Amino acid sequence: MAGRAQILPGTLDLLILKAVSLGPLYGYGILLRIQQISQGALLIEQGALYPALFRLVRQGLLKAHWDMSENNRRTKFYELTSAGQKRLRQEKEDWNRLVVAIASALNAQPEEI
Amino acid sequence: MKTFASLRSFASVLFHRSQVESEMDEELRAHIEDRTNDLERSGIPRAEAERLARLEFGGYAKFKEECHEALGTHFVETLVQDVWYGLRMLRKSPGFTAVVVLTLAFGIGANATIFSFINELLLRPPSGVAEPNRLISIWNRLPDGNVMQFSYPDYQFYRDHNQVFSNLIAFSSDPERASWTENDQSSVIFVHIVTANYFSTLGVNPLMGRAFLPNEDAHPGSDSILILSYKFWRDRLGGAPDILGKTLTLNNHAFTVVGITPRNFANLRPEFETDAWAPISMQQELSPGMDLLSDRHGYWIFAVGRLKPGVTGAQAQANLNVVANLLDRKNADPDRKGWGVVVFPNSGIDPGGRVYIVTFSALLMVLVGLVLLIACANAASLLLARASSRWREMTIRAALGAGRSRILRMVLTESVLVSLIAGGLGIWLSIWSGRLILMLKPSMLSFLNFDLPLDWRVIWFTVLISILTGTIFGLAPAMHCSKVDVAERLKTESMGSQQKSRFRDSLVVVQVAVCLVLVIGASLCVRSLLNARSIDPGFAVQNRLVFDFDLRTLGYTDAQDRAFYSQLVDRVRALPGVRSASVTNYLPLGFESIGQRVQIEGRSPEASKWLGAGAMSVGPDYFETMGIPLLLGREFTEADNENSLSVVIVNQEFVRRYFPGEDAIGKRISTKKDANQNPIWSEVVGVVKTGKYGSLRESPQPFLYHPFSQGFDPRATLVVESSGDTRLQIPAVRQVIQSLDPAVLILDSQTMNDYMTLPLFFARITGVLLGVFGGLALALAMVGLYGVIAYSVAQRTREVGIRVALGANRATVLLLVIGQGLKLTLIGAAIGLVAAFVVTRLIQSLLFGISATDPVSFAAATLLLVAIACFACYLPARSAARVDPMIALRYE
Repeated sequence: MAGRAQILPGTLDLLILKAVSLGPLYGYGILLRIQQISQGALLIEQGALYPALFRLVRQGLLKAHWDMSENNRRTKFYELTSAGQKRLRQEKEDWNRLVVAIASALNAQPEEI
Repeated sequence: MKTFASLRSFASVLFHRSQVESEMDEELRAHIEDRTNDLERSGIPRAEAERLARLEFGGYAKFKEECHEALGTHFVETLVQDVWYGLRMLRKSPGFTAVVVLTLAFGIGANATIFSFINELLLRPPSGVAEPNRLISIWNRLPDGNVMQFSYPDYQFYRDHNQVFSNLIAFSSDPERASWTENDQSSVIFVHIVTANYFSTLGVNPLMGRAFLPNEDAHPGSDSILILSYKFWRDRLGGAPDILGKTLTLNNHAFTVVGITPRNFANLRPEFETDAWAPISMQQELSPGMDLLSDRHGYWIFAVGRLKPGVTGAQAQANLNVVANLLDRKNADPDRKGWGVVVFPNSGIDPGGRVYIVTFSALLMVLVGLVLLIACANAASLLLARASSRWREMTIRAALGAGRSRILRMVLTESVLVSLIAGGLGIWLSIWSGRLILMLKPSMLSFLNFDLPLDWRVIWFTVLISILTGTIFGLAPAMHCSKVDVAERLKTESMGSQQKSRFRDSLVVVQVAVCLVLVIGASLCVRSLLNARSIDPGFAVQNRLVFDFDLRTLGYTDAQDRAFYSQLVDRVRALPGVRSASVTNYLPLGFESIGQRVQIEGRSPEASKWLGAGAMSVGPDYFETMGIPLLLGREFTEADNENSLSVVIVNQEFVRRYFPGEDAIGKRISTKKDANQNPIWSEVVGVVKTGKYGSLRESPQPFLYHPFSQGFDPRATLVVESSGDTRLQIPAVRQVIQSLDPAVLILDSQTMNDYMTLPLFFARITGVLLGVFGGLALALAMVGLYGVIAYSVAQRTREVGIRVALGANRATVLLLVIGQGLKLTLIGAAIGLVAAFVVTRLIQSLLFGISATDPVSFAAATLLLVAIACFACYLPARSAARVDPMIALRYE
């Protein structure tokens, strides 16, 4: 499992929102999508996905419905609500600001001080 | 919005629990299956792939739990879990559970009992009435702030001039007692006279027949119709289906039945038994001798209005103020200067009575609150004692990762569970104790219709105080339990915490203090009850019978009335076993009293301006029959009649006040004036001993007696003195009465002893209630005190063992333990005495012949409590001191 990073606390929600924003997905599909869009660099404890999904639904950021999957099995699909879209945009901005700030802090050279 | 959404998901989760559960499973399993398939496709054998998929997923149960938590269903789930667990724990220690439940059940039951009375008297809306909260009762407001009923003309004026009521109804304040004659037998029937719009305004639709028509109260005497109560129709008329159109003879007047009220309709004055309703225009037929409909100064009307839609109580008051001004201007009556109008939410009880009831029930509520507090303290101390035996369990739970709040919640759930069970039992107890209390109601008040139905208000109240109780008595032990320092605890495994013993000590102190207040209050009331029984009313109570009459319903002439009474007395005197008999226009200590202004011959009118005395008209031999000692002069005789010289007999107090140092016999006084405003003089012919007239508590009052025939009243009471069992004489006397005229209405026939329950009623009910609650508190406190002390001594078994092993004298140890218990008791007693000093003042006005700070009661109650505490210390201390030191040391 070398080369994979544990995700930071609190970023799972962000990743789920991003994954779902690309189109309605069921649970396992979300996991695959996250692995795919992170080029397999992120390690997620698979079970932890579900409490996060339930929480997002309860917060009104995702909505869920039951439907038939491509292999004809009853499956629960999640999709983004408008509140979820707003939240995703917000969190993305926050995250980018944070990354820039941390990166510039870490790249600081002695002469810059 | 968000809360709403989460509430909705919470609710939908609650109601679709199993569905949520299975969907959750379905989703999680699908995930594992998908993963297994993927792994298999990458070349791993099926079985291995499945194992890997599960491994990667992580703790299945844990995530499911977290999912529930995320959904917000967690709270309910753990609650259910805690309740099951609590029930299991309670079943495991049935003895403990039984003691705590019983203790609390008494406390909660006492509260529920008092509350059900308050509910009945103050809270319950009249039954069977549409929209009772839109009904407003209106009253004359006197300049001194008191209220007064309306006269009928007042009512008519307000009815015609207000703009806020869709309808205003009027009814007599109390139902009339009428004589119902059937098959030559007469019995009492309570008829409420009401305006014709009564039933339609209240929204009451008759079960059978019809309500009164709008104009059926317009012409006095013309609408002889009745609507019967369901109960009267069913019980007294056998539920005859063909009753409509039949007539009933009331006061020798035929009334036609036009309707039957529905079963659930009591009346607007539900505390009065009401058999029938008649239009108010029939007032003279139903209460003969008075024309109240046109009397502007006869205040006897309750007026209740239904507010028009959208009108508030304040708007009604404002509009009625305007009407009151109009009325004032129209009347221009100097007697009614400054009279206004005031509105109240409708209630069968008049505002004055309401204030009295509120005060009295607040006092009782405080009392039973104290009883419950003691019960709580008991339960808390028992729970605390047990908490130490569950110390280990809590420690292990904490070690396994249970948070403090989780443990707190678990322990609290258990205590609330206990108190809810106790609450259920308490309701049951309150039903019985309510019935017992109602049995104290004097038979003379039998027309009062009073029962205590169990309605949702009582149930809610009980559930609420049960939860409160459970929280109060569970909180301290729970806080204590949950304060877990795992490492420390697992090591020592003994509690010996300073804090805990301090808490227990304060429990003892509080318990002793509250209990002392109650016991002192109870002993004051019980002694006051005994005092009231031994107060000399001034007449003999044993071997006497009384019969109440109202001849007005017969339509006799004055001469016929007089002849009836003289024949009655003659015939009753002739009965075997009867020693003497006489009549009086009323009995002392009843509902009635008459006061007269007195003028004394030879003194200026100025000097006698403020002289007054109570007055009564009594027949020959009245004083002998009543056992009232005649001190000077003579009794009235047959010769003192309406044609003879006017004479009076006065009491000792009258002589003491108005003829000090003189011989009153032969003096002349006047209570009446003739047509020319000249006094009519009466000669004093006798002096009798002073008794009690208005109430048992009164100071000596001047009183005078007229001969019955000189102050005649068609309403009178026959008094009979007999030998042997007086009760057995009642049928014989009734027979004599029936033989004189079968239509005669006997309002009451009872022994004087029964009659005396009325003046003693309040002393008795406070005595009994306080006595019972005080006794209950004492019993509870005894149990609690014993439990707490015994437990704390038992906790010290080891210490005692060490002391004895080190050579301490057993007696010294005994004294040490008792001394500590006693110290707490004395602190509690001191606080209790101070509190009792303040609290008992509140009941001063209810006490007979005893001061609220009576030192004997205070001392006796304190001694009793200290003695109990000593006993509670001694027994466990003795057994502790007897313990073999070796066993005590090995104990832990």
